[in-house]
Parts: sequence; C-alpha cells; structure tokens
Amino acid sequence: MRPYLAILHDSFREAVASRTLPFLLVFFTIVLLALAPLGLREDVPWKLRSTDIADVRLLTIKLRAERAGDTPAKRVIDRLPEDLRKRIADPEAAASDKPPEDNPFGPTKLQRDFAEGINERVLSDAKFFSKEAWDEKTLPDEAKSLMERGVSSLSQDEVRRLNRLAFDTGFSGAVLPAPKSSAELTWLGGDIPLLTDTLRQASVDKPEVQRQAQDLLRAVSSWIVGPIGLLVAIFVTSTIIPRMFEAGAIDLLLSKPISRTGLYLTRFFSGCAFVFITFSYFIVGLWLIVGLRLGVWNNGLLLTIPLLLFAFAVIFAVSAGTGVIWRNPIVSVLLAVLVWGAGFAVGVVRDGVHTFRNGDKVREIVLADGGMFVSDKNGHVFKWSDSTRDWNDVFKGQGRQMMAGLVYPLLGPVYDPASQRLIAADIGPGGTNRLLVGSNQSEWERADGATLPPATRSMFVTDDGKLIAAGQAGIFRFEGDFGAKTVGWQFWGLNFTSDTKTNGFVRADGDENRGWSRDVAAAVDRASGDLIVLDRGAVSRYRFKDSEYEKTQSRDLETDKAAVIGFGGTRVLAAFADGRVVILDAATLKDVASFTIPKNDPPRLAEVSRDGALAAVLTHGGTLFLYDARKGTRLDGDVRGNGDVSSIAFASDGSLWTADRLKRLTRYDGESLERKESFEGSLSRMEMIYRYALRPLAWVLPNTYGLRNAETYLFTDRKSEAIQGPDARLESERLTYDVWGPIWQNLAFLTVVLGLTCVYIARKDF
Amino acid sequence: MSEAIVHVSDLRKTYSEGLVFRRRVEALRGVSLAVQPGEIFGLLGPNGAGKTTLIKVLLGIVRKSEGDARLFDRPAGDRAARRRVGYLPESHRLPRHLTANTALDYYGGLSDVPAAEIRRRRPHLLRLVGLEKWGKTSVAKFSKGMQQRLGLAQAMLHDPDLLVLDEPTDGVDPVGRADIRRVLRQLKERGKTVFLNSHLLQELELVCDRVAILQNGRVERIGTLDEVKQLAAGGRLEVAMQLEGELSAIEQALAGLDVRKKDAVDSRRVQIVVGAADQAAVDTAVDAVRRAGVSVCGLIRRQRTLEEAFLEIVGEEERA
Repeated sequence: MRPYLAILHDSFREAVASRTLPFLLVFFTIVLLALAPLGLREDVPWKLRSTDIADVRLLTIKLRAERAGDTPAKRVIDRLPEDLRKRIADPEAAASDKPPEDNPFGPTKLQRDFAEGINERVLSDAKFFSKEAWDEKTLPDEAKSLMERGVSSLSQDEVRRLNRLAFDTGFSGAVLPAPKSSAELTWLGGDIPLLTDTLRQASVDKPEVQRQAQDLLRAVSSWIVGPIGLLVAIFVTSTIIPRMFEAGAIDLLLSKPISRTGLYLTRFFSGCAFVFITFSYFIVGLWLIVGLRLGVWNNGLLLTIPLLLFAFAVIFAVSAGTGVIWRNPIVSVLLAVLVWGAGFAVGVVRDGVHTFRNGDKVREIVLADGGMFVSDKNGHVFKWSDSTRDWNDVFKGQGRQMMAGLVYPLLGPVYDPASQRLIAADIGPGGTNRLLVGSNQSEWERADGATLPPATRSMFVTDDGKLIAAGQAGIFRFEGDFGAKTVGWQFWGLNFTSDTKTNGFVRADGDENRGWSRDVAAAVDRASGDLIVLDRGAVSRYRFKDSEYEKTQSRDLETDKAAVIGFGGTRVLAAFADGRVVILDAATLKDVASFTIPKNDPPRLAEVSRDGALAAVLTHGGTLFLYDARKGTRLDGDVRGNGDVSSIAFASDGSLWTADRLKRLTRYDGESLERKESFEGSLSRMEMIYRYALRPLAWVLPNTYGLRNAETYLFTDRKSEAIQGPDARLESERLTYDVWGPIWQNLAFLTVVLGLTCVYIARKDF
Repeated sequence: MSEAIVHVSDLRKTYSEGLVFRRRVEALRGVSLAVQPGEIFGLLGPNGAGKTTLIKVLLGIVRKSEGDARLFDRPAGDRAARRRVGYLPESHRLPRHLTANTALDYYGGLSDVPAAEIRRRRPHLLRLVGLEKWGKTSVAKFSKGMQQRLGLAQAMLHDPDLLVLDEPTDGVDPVGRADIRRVLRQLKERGKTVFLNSHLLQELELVCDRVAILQNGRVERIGTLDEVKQLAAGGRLEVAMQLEGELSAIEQALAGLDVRKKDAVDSRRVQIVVGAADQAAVDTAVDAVRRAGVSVCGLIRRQRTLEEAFLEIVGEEERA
C-alpha cells in the first residue's frame, strides 16, 4: 500500500509545485468571496411599481368619478401634486399616454409619474387610510388585522403596507394587488450593482427568488462547473500521466516493487482526487453560501460533485490513455477534447432527434373489428395494412392546427363498435376542441364535428355505442349529431370555441351544479357501460340508468394525489402520482391489493383487461408494471422493450398489446403473457439514421452530455417533467430523462478505456 | 538451481518496431551469464550491444522473448525480487518538482520503506554521495553529475542486496567518479552485489571482480579481469624481448617461436613480442635464443589493459 500512497502523495506535491492547485483554489476562493456577500432582503411590499398600474386609463376614470365625499379617490387626489391632478382631470392625458419608443413594452410616463407620486405622497402618509373612507370596501384579512392593532402602534412600513392594501382595494381592476411578500437579492447589504432598475423593480417574493437562485445554481453546475470546469480540469491534469511515462522516469518506477496497472491506476485516481478536491471546495463553498445567505439548502448540488467527478474521470481516461501511448500532454489534451467534443456533439444531435422521434411514438392503440390503429404523440393516426405489412397514414383531413414546436396528441381515438367509427378529439393547445370522426366508408378520412364539453379529460365508447366524455365540467353522454359544428372565434390564427356549448353532449352525472377537480380521472367498463370516477381522493362507481349515471358505490381513498385509473370487469386499477398503485374490487370498491412503483417516474396510463384478470400500469418513463388483478399479485412478464413502452391496450380476447420503439406493436397471450406476434412496418430514413448510425456512434463515444439528465434528476428528484409545466395533469405528455442510461454508458466507456490502457501498459516494453 | 544472484541462460529478446511495416530487431541472442553474491560484475559492450536490454529484462521492464532470466532465484521481473534491487537507470529523469530530500521520500516510499526509516537514512546517504548540503534544493537546479549522485542515493535507500547501475558515472566529474568507486567498494565490503554497466572501461577495471563483454546481443567474453585480458590474447602469455646478435642468428633462433611482433632497433638489435602458452614455454624460447648465440638484453612480461582487450575482442568480432 505504501508505494501507492507515495504515488498519490507525489501527485499532490507535483500539483502544488506546478502552482495548478494553488491557482485553482485561489481562483475559486475569489469567486466564492465575491458571492459570499450575496443576501436576501425581505421587504414588506408596499411600493406601487409602475407596472402594477395595469390600466392607467381606468385608474384616472376611477379617480375622477369617485371624488365626492370622503372616498379613497378623494384622499388620493388631495395628496397628489398639482401637475398630476391636472393630468387626471384631463381625459385626453391618459388616452394619449404611450410607452416610450425605445421600450414599447415598458411603462408609460403617466404610469411612472403616478407610481412615484402615489408612493411619495399617498402611501407614505400615515393619515391616508381611514375606516370611514373605506367603509364600503371589503378589505383583505391582512389589512383588517393591521387595523385591529391600531395605526398608531404600527411601524412605518406596516402603515405603508396598510395604505397599499387599502389602495389596491379602492382601485381594484386598475392596479394589480401588492404581493404578499417581496424579496430581492442584495450584495453587501445593498443593491446588486449589475441589476438594472427594471430587474430590481420586477423583484418578487422570497420563494420565487429562492427558486431563481436554484435555477442559477443549476446553470452554474450545468455549464460553469460542468463542461467548462471539465475542460479546465483536463488541461491542468494533462501532464500527470505523460510525465510519469517519460523515458528515464518510467523505467525507474517500474523497477520498484509495484504493479504496472497499480502504478497507472493510482496515478489516474490521484488526478481524479485532485479534481475532486478543487470541485468539492468550490461546490461546497457555493452550497454553504446559498444556504446560509439565501436559505436555499439544495443537497442536490452536493450530489453533483460525484457526478462531475465521474464525467471528468471518463474524459481523463482518454487523456491518460493517450498520455501512456504518446507521452505528450498536448496530444493527450487534443485527443481528450476531441473525444469529449464528439461525444457531446453526438449527444446533442441524438437528444434533438430523440425529441423529434418522440412525437412519432405510439400514444394510443385502438383494436377495432376492422383493423388495428395507432395514434402517435403528434396526433397522427395509422392503420396496419396486412398486405404491405406497414402502417398507413389514415384519419387525415382538415381541422387540426399545429403550434410551432409544440407536440400535442389527440384525445383518443376510441373505436365505436356499434357505428364502426373511429372517434377522436382535438384538444391540444390551439385545438378546436371538436370531435374528429372517421369510418371505413370514408376510408378512415376524418371529419370534424361536434364540440366537446370544456376541460374534457377522457373519452370512452361502450360496447353498445355510448360515447362518454368526462372532465372537470362533469360526465357527459353524447346524444347529438357528430357532424354538427359549434361556431367559435379566431385569435392569432388559432381557433377557440365557447366552453359552454356542448353541442350534443348531455350532462349525465345527475348533478348539474357539481364541479369536478382538475385532476378528476374516469374509466369505463366497456361491457357494462359502468363508470368509475376518482376525484379528490374519492372513488365512485356510476351505473347507467334511465339515460343518466347514478352513483352506486363510493369510497374515500384518503389521498389528495392525482391518479390515472383503469376499469374492466371486476377490477378497478388506480395508479397515483406518488407511486401508489391499488387494485380495487369493482363491486365493493374495497382493496384487493396495493403496490408501489418508483415515485420519481409517475404513471401515465392504467388499464384493466375486459374480464378484470390482468391490470397494467405504464409510466411516463416507459416502464410497464403488470398485475394479476384477480389474485392481486405482481407479474414478471417478459415485455419487449420494457423501459421504452409508449402505450398498452387489452384486446377483447384478453390479450395484451404493447407499443415500443416507434410503432412496434407486440401481442402477448393474456394468460401466459407469451409473446405471440409483432407488427413494426418500415423504418423512416430518420429512424434508420438514428438506429444504425447515431445510436451505435453514441455507444462508442462517452456520453457526458447525457449526464445532464442525472444532474436534473439530482436537483429535482424527478425522472420526467411535464411539458406544460408543474400544473399539467398526470397523463399529460412529459419530457422523460434517461437518468441511468448515460451513467451505465459512461461507466462502460470508462471501464473499457481504463482496461485497454492497463492491458497496453502490462504488455508494453518500456 | 545455482546460488547466483543473477542467472541468465540462453536469453533472447526480439523487438518489433514500426506501426505498419513491422521490423524485428534482435537485441539479445542467447545470452548466458551468472553473477555471484558479493561480487562487482561489469557489463561491457559497444552501443547497441544489448546491455540495457539485458538489465531491463532482469528488472521486468522489458519482457524476454525466449530463454531464462532469474534474480534471486525468482523469475526476472518478479516483484519480490525487485524489492531487493536498487536500480539507477541510464539517463534517468527525476521529477523536477522534487528536492533531493523529497525525491528520497518518494522513491523510498515506492520501495516500501517507512517514512521514519527514510528520514533516518537520508542524511547519511546524501553525505555518502556528496549532496549533504543540497537536501532542500530542487532537482531542477541539479547538474547531470548531481542527478547521478542522487540517483545512486535513491538506489541504495532501501539497502538492496543487488545494485544495478547503468552508466553510474555518466556526467560525473573525476572526484565524483572516485566517490562512486569508493561507495561501490564499501558496498562490496558489506557483501552487496553490484551489476555495473559502463562505457568507461578504466572505471570498470578499477572496481570489477568479473566482467562480461556483450556484442550484438551475445556474450563474447566473461571472466575475471585477468582472464578476459588473457583471453583477448588468445589465452597465451606475451613476452617482449630485446635481442642482440647477428641478424641471421636471430632469425634462426626465432624460427619455430610464436613471434607476434618484430621491430629492428639497429643492425644488431631487434625487439620482439613472443606468445607463449605458459612460463615453461617462455623458458624454452629463451633457451632457444641463447643456444643460437643471441643475447637477451631485456625481457618483460607484457600486461594488457581492459580497453586493449575490449577493443581486440570487439575488433575480432567485427572482422568476423
């Protein structure tokens, strides 16, 4: 052990002697010292910002109109300077008020002058607010509690705050309400010199500032400590290996009682240790500063240290291997940067292609009497042709609009066996919210028709042809004409339809006044037509009777988590956002079994076979979990491409269908889960390039770019993020991060490069 | 197996050079030798003879192609054997960030010597090689000779049983060379074995017990210094004589003798060098000269230098 410690010790002695380590530590110290005075100043938000005046014209109208008696308007006007009073009195002044030419989105002069005047003369005046003047206004609770304490006992800022709350109440609609709290970043207790006034004015509450600080940290670790730090580290460690293997130096080392691979690996890890110390120093310093100064204790930042070290080790292995062969630091750096750059570029391209091809993945599988359909995430529908053994684009027609860059699928399609029609709905951003219908007679060409109820989340067709739409507005049954259209309006080229006109959809849940939550989930048993609804943690079963759904059973599952549900025969399956999966008896709604799936990969789809024998949960990450719903046990089916599964469906014969890759469908026997047949079709050019060029190339090169996924995961503890933001519904399309793939890939690369270098060293005559 | 510390038998090493067009270079072509405990063994040979390759094979730095090479009765390159060896490579390069003291710390650690033991031995070793005042000086400021001295110190730091020194006096001034000779003799007195490789034949002649001459990857001569020198003369003694008499009588007297050199001094005197198998043969030659009525004015038994012997052997080989 002692010889290897001697090598480690010498590496640090060399780093110190070469001034690399001291230089980096001094540099990081300067950066940390520069950041250390950062602080968070919390204010009682009372100031009226010019941007808070949402409608300056309305404000002047209100001030002019309510001047009689002791009113808020009179109290404001009495305190304003003469110049502003004149401008309030002149209706043309507000009408002609325009933003400056150099900043068309900025505040107008009148807005700025109003804000300044109101802040100085009105809100700062302790006598501005009086109970009598605001007698007819409903003040917020915060203002009431300040009033209860008595104006005389309030601090100056609290008086101003009370004034501001009163002002907001008095002129609601014309001004935006003051935030509940406000905070801004400070440096040495004062304003940050580099922040512009506009940015400072846009200061927000403390959680928002902390969130921004988190984003900043993420950017720092992603780029400054990531690729940039990586390259700096490669430069400063480039001499470690070549110097050791120089003629005259290596033969003396090899004469010592140490192994060749041990010598090399110790030297390699000493380079890693050197980088670990410098990175750790900086990141721990950063973590302490943002924790102590801003109150943001993000442990994910600390976990990026081993991740960064890992990324460095991957590239350093190339640099070190090159150093052994050519014994030249310049060649080492060049080749390492070249390999890293190639890996990074391939990673970026692959990521881009991956995003594009994601839109081509199957989202829905429709098993109809007349054939097999799939719809992809871009909302395109395809029908399998047995003669050409390929997917044919069907369900084409007018009526769908795409917003550039946004991928949005159709709702459905579902197959109506009674009328042999394919029914979908266009509900994406900018969608028409209309039903799209196609049939065999029209060669599956679609026609757009009736408008869906607003906020429809699910659409089902029962075996007897009932079309049901469920969502926030309730449960609706379709009774109208598919072809009837609702008149909408256009804005910026996008169609909008009235939310209130349901055009053939009839409320069917028996309670016109009842509103469901945003996260309501519903599923139908196609055979019986019964419905299961899960809302705000309560699961209810509805039976169709006398043209309405009647609640027959209900149970509180005691959770506030959103869920996706499936219903078939005797079983109901619910998969919650927190990873809990429960199988319920459909008749009693009692638990049959419960399971957990990884909570960082939320469920997207829950399905139960028609007879209630099999249940399946598909996650956004493409992992399929199968259950024997009758016995309430987990099944270990050998599902093809599990981890990349994009959709599932159960056929009427109980067989399971899965979609993976782009459009490869596989059928499994419903009892044995044995694979029976596959349908894939021809590959597009892009898919061929992806599959046979880009992906193999990416496997040969290191994938440090992909480690960003792991980094995002460490920061957010989520394997996927909703494209539509944190408020998106559970089944909405998400960006899924492949966290472990790049880690395994880089680990394989590191092992192979280190292994090959060790073999070379062991066999080399020095 | 022999008790030799170094035992090499029919050792061969062939290098392959070139990336595309591979070229085979035979560096060792069946070398056999043995070095006994406590002796100073010198390895001679012209450039490219295979001396450094032989040392590197013994230390496991280069892999052998065929044959057998053993150190301390273990396969060459064995880690346990290397533990007992101190090595000073030719044109070695000590890391420039080290001082003499930290260099000894580093190489001592690599030789598995505890830090306390290194600190204890360090002053003595630096004094031994004449660097006692340079302990804290950076190696980057050392002359070639000083680096050689420090290299020798690191080789001795772990008190090895065998020292393998490749051109130890390279770049060292005469005083330093004398110091190194002194150190080598002290090592020998302590029962250590030294395997020395040098171009400076006078140096070797002064310290070595036995030498081997390596040429073109083969051992041409091996033995004690006297044996090698004698062997260079075809294994015979050489006697220089100054004879006086009639030239015809001298010619008659020399008939039948192994006359290797003959120079006429004047009309009656001739200087000759005669080869003889042993002293009896020398006596017979003198008797023959005297019987012919020729006077022997002077007689000297001739001593060859190692350099002469080396040049003769190497020259013979090249002529062959």
